[in-house]
Amino acid sequence: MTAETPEVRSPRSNAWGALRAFRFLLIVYGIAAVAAGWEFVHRDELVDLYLDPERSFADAVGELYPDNPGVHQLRTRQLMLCASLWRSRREMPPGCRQFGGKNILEEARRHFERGRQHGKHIEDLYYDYVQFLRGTGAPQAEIDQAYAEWREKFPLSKRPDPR
Amino acid sequence: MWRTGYILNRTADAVWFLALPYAAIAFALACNQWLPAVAVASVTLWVTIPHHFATWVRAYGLSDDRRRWLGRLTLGPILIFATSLIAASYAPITLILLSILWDKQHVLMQQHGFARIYDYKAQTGSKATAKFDLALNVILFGNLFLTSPFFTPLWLRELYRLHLPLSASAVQTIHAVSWLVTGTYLVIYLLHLLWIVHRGQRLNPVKYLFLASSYFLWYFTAWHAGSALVYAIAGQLMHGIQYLVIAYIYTRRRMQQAGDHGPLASLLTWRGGATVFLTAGAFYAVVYQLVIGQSLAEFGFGVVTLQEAYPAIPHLNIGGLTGATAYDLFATAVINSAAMTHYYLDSFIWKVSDAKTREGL
Repeated sequence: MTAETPEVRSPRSNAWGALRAFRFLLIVYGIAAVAAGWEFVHRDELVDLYLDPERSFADAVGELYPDNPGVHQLRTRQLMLCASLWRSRREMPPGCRQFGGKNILEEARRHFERGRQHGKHIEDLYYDYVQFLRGTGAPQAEIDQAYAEWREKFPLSKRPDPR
Repeated sequence: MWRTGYILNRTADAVWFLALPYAAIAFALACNQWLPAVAVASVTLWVTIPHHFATWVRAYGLSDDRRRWLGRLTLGPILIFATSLIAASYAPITLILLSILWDKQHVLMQQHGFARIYDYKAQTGSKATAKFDLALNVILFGNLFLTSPFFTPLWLRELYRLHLPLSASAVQTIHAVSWLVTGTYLVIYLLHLLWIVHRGQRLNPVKYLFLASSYFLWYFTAWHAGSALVYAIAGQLMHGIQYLVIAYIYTRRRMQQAGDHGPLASLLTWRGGATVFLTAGAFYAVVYQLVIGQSLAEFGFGVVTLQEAYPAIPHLNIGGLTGATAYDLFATAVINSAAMTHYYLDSFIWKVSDAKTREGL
């Protein structure tokens, strides 16, 4: 083929050329498709991040970063679930059994207080705390103060009044 | 051994590429100390959303590039929007994971790109330096993602939700391996630099100062585990502002080189082009916020909120302002402001006593 001869490209090479332009997107979506397939196959299996008897996310991350404000938030959720099971006299998973009765609430309060010292960006620590105080029969003034703190730190929150 | 080259010029690089990361950290720490968490949303609205707008201008604003990338510029967005909508229904965790990982790849590639510009401008490094730099960025950012207290809970949670639980000891093993790989690669990279110098080639010191500043920001804020606010704000400021700067300068320069006289070019290439560019970006952010149905109060760093201005009055049985009623109040304020601006302008633009005005009548 001389330099003057125009290159004749087969339909297959044209298609490959078009695909090559999209190769980055194809790689990204190829990887994502595998993850999506995995997620879709397991879609009906519920994941308990807090009280899974085999492996709980809250326990794993709590072991890694015990003083992280996010971990305190996970622990408060975990303990509030334990408290709910304890109140309804249902069977407690292993993650809850280390705390007996009233200890659950004291432990939850401790995590709320420690988490709120440094986790001012974690809304759950403030919103759940109002609900926690209400649920444990705290004085109305204390509930109102916690509510005011939540509104002050998250003025644009769309969540309903937790009181 | 050294040869200096700049992306823009000495002063501009010192401001936008070397000092900006430290200023962003200081601003983020101040936000964390004195502002509510909504400050992250405010930085997103003021910087990140306008930086998306800068991409649209850069990608679709140059006629030459529109012709070259026609297929990708049209089919790409359609494909991404369509698959995202489908994934939101059938594989939402994958969609979140994809968005997080692609974001990380995108930010590290931006810093890699700037590093390449530094070598290009100063004619430094060797042919192999591009690959060594890419590996350096991938490994340093990958290590940050895998080992930092900011990111570890994030990817670990998603793995649990995907039914791939890892124990704490398995995570610690991943951390140790990641640090080992990073340390080993840093030694290899140093040997590469020594090899370049040994061959009589030059290194651009500004490139290494730039990379050190960028990674200082990421590593410092990702280990500042007390607050996700600091990483989010500082990272967005560095990435968004540097992108806005390069997108504006590049697009304007290309338009001037091409002799483009279209409406967009005439807006960007005149003296006040930067102001037009930033104002258009802010306007885009407002429209974006309205389209996704979020509060415009997020622009105010949580300091200015209509809801807070009208709290509940319990003894009169009057509730506080809801998001919807606050929006109604805001809309009323906008309508009134437009009307009052009209009243004010009309108070002097129609004066018959003004000679210039009389000429047009």
